Amino acid sequence: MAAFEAAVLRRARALDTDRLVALGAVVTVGVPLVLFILYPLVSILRKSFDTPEGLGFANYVRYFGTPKFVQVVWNTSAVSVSATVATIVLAYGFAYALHRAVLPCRNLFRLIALSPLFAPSLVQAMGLIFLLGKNGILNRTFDLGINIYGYWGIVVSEVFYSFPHALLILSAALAVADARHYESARMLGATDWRIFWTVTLPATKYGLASAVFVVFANVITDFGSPVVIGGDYSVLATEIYNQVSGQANFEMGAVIGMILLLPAAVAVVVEKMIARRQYAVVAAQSVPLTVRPHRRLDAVMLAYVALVSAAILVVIAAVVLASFVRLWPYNLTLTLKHYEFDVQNGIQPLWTSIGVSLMAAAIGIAVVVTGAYVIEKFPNLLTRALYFLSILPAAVPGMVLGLGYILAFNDPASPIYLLYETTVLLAICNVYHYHAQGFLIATTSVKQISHTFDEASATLGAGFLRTMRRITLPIIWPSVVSVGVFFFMRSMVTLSAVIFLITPATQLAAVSVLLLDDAGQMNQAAAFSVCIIGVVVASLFGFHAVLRASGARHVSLIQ
Amino acid sequence: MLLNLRSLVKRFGAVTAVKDVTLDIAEAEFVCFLGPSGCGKTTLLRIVAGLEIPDAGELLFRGADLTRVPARLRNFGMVFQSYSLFPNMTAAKNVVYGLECRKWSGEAIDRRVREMLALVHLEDQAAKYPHQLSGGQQQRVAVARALAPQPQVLLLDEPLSALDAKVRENLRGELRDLHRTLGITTIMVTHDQEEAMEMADRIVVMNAGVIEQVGSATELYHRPQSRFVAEFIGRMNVLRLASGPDGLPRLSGVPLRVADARPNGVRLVGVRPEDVELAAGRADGENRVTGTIRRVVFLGNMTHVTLEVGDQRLLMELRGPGPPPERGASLTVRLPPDRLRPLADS
Repeated sequence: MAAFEAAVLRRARALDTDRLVALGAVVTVGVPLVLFILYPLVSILRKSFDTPEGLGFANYVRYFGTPKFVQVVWNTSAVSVSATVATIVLAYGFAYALHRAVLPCRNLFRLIALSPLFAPSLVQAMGLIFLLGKNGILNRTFDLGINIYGYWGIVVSEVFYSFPHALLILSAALAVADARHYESARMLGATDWRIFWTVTLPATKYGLASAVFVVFANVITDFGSPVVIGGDYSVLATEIYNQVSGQANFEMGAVIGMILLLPAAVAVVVEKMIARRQYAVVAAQSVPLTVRPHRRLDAVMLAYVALVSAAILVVIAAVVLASFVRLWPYNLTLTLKHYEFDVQNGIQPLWTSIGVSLMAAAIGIAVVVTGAYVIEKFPNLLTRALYFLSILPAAVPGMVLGLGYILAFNDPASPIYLLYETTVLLAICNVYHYHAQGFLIATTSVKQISHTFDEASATLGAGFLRTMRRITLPIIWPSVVSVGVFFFMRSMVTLSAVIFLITPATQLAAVSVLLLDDAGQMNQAAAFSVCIIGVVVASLFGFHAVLRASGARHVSLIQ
Repeated sequence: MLLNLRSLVKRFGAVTAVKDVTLDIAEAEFVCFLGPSGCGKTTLLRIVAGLEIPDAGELLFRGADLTRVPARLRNFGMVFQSYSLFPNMTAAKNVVYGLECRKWSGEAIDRRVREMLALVHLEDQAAKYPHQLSGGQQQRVAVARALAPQPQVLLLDEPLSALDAKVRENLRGELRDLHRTLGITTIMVTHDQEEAMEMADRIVVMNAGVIEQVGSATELYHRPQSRFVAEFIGRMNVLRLASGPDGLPRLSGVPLRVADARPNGVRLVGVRPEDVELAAGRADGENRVTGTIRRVVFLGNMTHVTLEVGDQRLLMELRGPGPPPERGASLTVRLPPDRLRPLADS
């Protein structure tokens, strides 16, 4: 026994490897967060104060003085508020139907409603143009005389684009309910209508508020829809693009970026505060609500869900159809010629996109899983700051992050300059653009592993690395895969952050869609969009099959 | 002494979970930390395990300071409340895990795993995954896993509380037998007094982060020192006494003689319901109090009678034949002086 005591003392006095690992882990997680999130943001903040006379508010003063400023801020607010209200109302009804009514083909309707996630946001706008634009098929056939470009076009296409995001949050809120509250209300003689207002709605208020802020942040920062369907109707996101890409005015781009950052950041901070309070709604002893058939309500709900699903499908169908006809809408002869991609670069951007997305998935997994694990395992002041940095990107509009990357890394003196104009930087940019969501998925799954597994492992004599390799990773790998799928999907469809970073050699598919659309090659743009959607959907089914085959259940790939 | 806990303190934010706890544990002893939830018993166990580092105090093992030695270097086996078997490993692999950490040879590992699974009667379940085992089986694998690396001390954190009553009963016996066969020093945390009384050599009763009393089951039952222990272990009437002009303590005016009385008087006294005697037919007039019957509950082998004496209640057990007393009637009982325990108010 004496040998054991001696060994204990010797090893305790020696530098504990676990402590070294902890320090190393925090540094490994912290340095990239600072470099790829904080540094670009600081660069853009600095640039916005950069004037010929040194640092000052001159850029802000100048921009606030232009009549266009008031117009753009007004436009942005009008579009964001309208689209948010419309999306929430429509998605709440849809989520309610999915969870509180007896519906046939529930999963099919859900999948249709989520389908806008599989395409770049500008696809919704293109679909609308194919239907209701100047040469839109509905506009022409029925001679409606609708002018979709501008406010209405942006709002409608943002509603389509944001619908799945709101639906995911509201579904989660409506999926759980305490049957006892409903039974008490009914025993007290409340009508269905009254129960909805006094029980259902209050129980979902946190989910509702959460959805409001997520959608608002989504809409206000979106670039794809307004650039395609906005026409002369300028919003902040397109203004940044005009200033930077059109006029190479980086200072003004930075100023507008800061103005856009503010409301997005407020929305995200409020959303996080609300989300934290949401958990206590259903107590452990709750009785789950079982949905009973209710013929009239079910019929109304089915009609509503079918109508919304049809609208979503029609918009996407218009894009798909347009890609297969000679010249929409004049010559509807079927053809595959738009899939020849005889334009500059051809089909190459699609391959580049797939490559970048795979890279983003790999880097994203490494970054957020390590980050989530380290921040969860070593709670201290430093990791709390890292947690904040990790979810900060949720508040950073893609255009702002992209501009920050130019300002931070387009500098031959910076070591990152080696990556500048490469696909690696595009992948990194995507990872940090969607870092917050990926990180939160990973954190949830890390939290799901009981602390006692670590503790049991420690009492059995295992160190940090052995526990990670033998216990943690084997348990969480299905969620690790879903983190990868998330980054892959987002990278395939994103446009805003990377648009500032691409070169002709590193052009991405979503950017090709924009350029083709800009050049009036609507049918080819549609064909390119269909290819993107095809890749995303195929990879989703592929990952799903892999997970099923390896026995992992209950892993949601759409987050 | 094998383990010395010296003035241990552990705080979580504003809450002090363990307040200045000192305790010695002997080789091969079975000690239970008993107390209500939140009393600090689990925190104390986790300090011994190395899963928490105390804010003050020290932990000695055979005289060597273990306070800051990480859990994985202590060679203490631990069984958790929620089994915490690794879900990605079979029962046998779970048992192997600690041996691999210690770099045992393949042959030695094989022998030890077979031996351990035989010890907990699970030889035929070796290839099953945790989710294929019942709760009781999972907990037995957890015990085998903790014991496999030949730990110095076995720590059990409410090991039975997640199990059904019947399984719990069986496993209680098995754990006790195991302790007897292996002679391994064992510390178990529980909130179940029956469990503690059945299994432990020594029970450490804890409340609000401090040790209320340490002793064997009989000591704690017959000689509780504080109101908390009196009420936590079994059932005990706790009576407030007033001080009379002669200095003798009184219960609603009647002077009481307390055999164990302390020099500075008795304010609080405990008496078990089974020790309260009917006064009728007894000659001596000492410690007789009269009260009104407020509640009568017939329980088959006995009847519980609740008396109201002054503004206090006194529960007693009546045995034997005879008609049950009537509610509202008056009854005189005797409180035997040697059965009255002076209590500290905690």
